[in-house]
Amino acid sequence: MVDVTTFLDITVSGIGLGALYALIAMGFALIYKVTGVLNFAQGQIAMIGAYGVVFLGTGAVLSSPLPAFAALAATIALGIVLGIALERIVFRQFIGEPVLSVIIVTLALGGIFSGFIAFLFGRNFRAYPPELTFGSRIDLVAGATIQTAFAIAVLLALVVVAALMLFFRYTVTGSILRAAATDEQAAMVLGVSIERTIALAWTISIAITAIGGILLAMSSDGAGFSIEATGIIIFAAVVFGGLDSIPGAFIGAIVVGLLQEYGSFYFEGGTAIVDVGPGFGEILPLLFLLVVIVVKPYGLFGTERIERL
Amino acid sequence: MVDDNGAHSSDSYRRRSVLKTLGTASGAVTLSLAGCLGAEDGGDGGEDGGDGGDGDGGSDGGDSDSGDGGDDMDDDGGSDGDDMDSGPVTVAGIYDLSGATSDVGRPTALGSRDAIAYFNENDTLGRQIDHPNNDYAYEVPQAQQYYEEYTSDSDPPIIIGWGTADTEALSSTVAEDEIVYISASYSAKLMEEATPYNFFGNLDYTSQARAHLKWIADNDAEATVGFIFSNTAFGKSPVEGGKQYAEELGLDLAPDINLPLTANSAETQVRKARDAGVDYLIHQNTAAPMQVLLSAKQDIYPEMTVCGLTWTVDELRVQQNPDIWEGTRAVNAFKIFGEVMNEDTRGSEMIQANIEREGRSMDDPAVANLNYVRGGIHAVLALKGLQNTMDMGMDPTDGANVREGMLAIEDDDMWGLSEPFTFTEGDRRPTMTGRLYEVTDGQMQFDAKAELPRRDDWIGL
Repeated sequence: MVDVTTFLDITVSGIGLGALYALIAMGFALIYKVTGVLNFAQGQIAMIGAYGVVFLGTGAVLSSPLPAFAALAATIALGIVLGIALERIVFRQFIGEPVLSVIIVTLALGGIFSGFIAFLFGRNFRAYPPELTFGSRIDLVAGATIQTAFAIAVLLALVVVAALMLFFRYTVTGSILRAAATDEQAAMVLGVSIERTIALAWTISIAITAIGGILLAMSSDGAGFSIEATGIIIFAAVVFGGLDSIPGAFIGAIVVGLLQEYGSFYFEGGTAIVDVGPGFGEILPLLFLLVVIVVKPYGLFGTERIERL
Repeated sequence: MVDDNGAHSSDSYRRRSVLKTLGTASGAVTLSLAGCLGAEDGGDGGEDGGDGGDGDGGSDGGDSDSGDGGDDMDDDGGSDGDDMDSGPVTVAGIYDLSGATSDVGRPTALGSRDAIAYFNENDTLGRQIDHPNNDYAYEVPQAQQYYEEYTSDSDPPIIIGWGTADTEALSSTVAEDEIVYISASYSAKLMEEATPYNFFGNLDYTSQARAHLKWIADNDAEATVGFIFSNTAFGKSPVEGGKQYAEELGLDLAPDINLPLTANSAETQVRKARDAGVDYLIHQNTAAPMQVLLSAKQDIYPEMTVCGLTWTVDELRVQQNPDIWEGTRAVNAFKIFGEVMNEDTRGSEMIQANIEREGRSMDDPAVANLNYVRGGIHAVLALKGLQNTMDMGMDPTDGANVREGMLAIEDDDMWGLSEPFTFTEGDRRPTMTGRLYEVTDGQMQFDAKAELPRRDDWIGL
C-alpha cells in the first residue's frame, strides 16, 4: 500500500532535485543549441559555482571573506565573467573548427576546473556560511514538505525556462542566436556577429549552471565533489528533452529527478513495491536514457536534423 | 627531494612523468592536468615550501637516497654481509594525494611520510629507511605502474599503500612477490589466507560495525538498527557480517538502504530509515555522502543516530558543520588527533615533532586530523615489523622475513597511538577493540571502548 504523504514527499523531493538538475541541464542545452557543442565540463562548472561561494564567503581561502549574500552575488557575477573569458580566450579560437575539437576542449576544461578546486580546497566538502543553509522545510499540502533550497530551485528553474523561451522567441538577440544555431556560416554572411552571439550563450549558460551548483550545495549545507557527478545525470535529462531544447531540458531534468527518487524508494530495499536491487535509483535514469535514445533519438522536443548525403 | 606534494623522490620518476604527460592523449592530458593541480596542493606546498630548510632533516632520507637505495642494496646483498646489516631499507609508498579519495588520502600520506622522516632523523631503526613514494591519484593502472617501478630492480620488503583500489589490485601480486603491503583498506576479506602479505592498522570494516552494534546492544537493547552503504564492494563489505552479529545480539534489523558515493541528496534514504523506525543507522561510505545524509537527517528524521565507520567521520568534517554532526558516532582502533596531542606518549612526541618540523599547523583540521594519526600508524607498523625482523637476526630487506617480523608484533600499542595490536600467522586482525566516539558540542569526544571477541569464524566475514 502506497502511503499518500510519503508518495507526495518523494514526488516533491524528485521535483526539487530535478529542478536543480534543470538549471544545469538548461545551461547545457543552451550551449548545444547555439554552438552545437556538447559541454562535458558542465558538472565541473556547477562545482565552480558551488565552491565559488566557499571561496568568497568563508575563511577557507580568504582571510577576510565577504558577507554571505555578497559572496553569493559575487559568485554569480564571476560566473558571468568566466563565461566571457572562456569565450574570448578559448572558444573564439575554435569558431569554424570541427565541433569535436571544442568537445575535447570542454573535457580538458573540466579537468582543469576540477583540479583547480582540488588545488584550493583539496577534495574536501566545505560548509556554506550559516546564512546560506536552510534548517527549515516549507509545508505543502497533505503533510508533504519541501526543502527550502529545492523550493528556490523549482521557482528559479521555472523563471529561467520561461525567460529563455521568451528571449529566444521575442527578442532580436534571441533570433540572432537561433539563426546562428541553425546555420553559423549563413548567419555570418548576413552580418551576424558570431563572436558576440557565442559569448552571450556561454555567459548565460555558465551563470545558470553556477546558480544550479550553488543551490545544489545549499541543499546539503555545503559544496562537495559529488556535484561533479551531475554532469552525467543531466545528460540523460537533455537527451530526453531533446539536446537543443531548453524546455525539453527542463522537463527532462524533472523526469530524471523523479525517476531517481521513485527508483530509490519504490524499487529498492524495504520500502520497495518491487525490489529490483540496491542502486536501482541511480541506474533508472540511465536506463531511461537508453530507451529514449532507441525510441526517440532526438528526444521530446529536439530538432530532427535531416542531412543530405 | 621528497616535497609536501607527493612529488616523486627520484629524478627517474620525474623524467617518466614528463614523458608520460607528453605522450598522453587529450583525455589523459585532462586528467594529468587535474592531477598536477591537485597534487601540487599548492597552498600547502607553498606554505611548507617555506620550511625548505627544515625539510632536509627528515625528508632527505627518503629523498636522494631513494634512487640509490636499490643499487646499494644490490651491491650490498651481493658482496658484503656487513653492509647488508647497515645499509638502507626501502619502504615504498603508493599514496592518493590528488585523486578521488585524496581528502583523506593526503593527510594519511603526510602522516606516513613525516613519520618515516622522523625515524630517519632520530635513527630509530638503526638503519636508514628509503621512502620512494608517489601519488597514484586513486587510479589502479598508476598504482600498478608504481609497483612495477618499485620492484624493477629489487623488491622492497614493505610497501605502504592506500585504499581499496590499489590494495585489491595488488593483493595477489604482493603475495607472489613476498612484499608486506600495509594499507588502509580494511576489508575483512584481506585477512584471509589468500592474501597473506596484507596488513592494516585498524578494526576491519565488519568489526567496526560490530563495535557500534555492541555498544547499541549494551545501551539500547530494544533499538532497531539499519545499514546504509554505497552499492560497491567497499560499501557492502561490513553488511553481511554486521547483520549476523546484530541478530546474535537480538537487535531489530531494518532493510538495507543504498546511498551512492556521489549522492547529492539523501532525502529518500532518510525517509526509508524513518519509515522502518531505525534508531541507529550504521553508515559505510565516505565523508561526502555522510554530509549529505546528515543534512537530510537533520531536516527529516533528527531522532535517528548515525553511526559512521572509519571513512565517514573526522575532525575536519565535524568542524566544518558542527550542528548537523552533533550526536553522530564514530569508531576506530586508534586515537584521534586531539587525544594524541593531549597525551604524553612516544607517538604523541613523534606527531608533535613532525607537525613542527614540517611547518604544519595544529589548527588546520585538513591535515591535523585522525587521518594524519592513521598515516603515522602505518609507518610505525612498518618500523615495528622491520625492528622485529632485525631482532630475530633476519635480513630486513627481505619481504618474507619482514612478514615474520610483522607477525611478531604482539600487544603493541603503536607508540601509544592505538589499541594494542597483535598479529599471528592464523589471525592478522590487529585488534578486536573499537574506540567509540560521539560528536558532542561540535567535537569528536571519546565515549567508550567496545571489546569484541576474537572469533575465528569472523576472519574474512
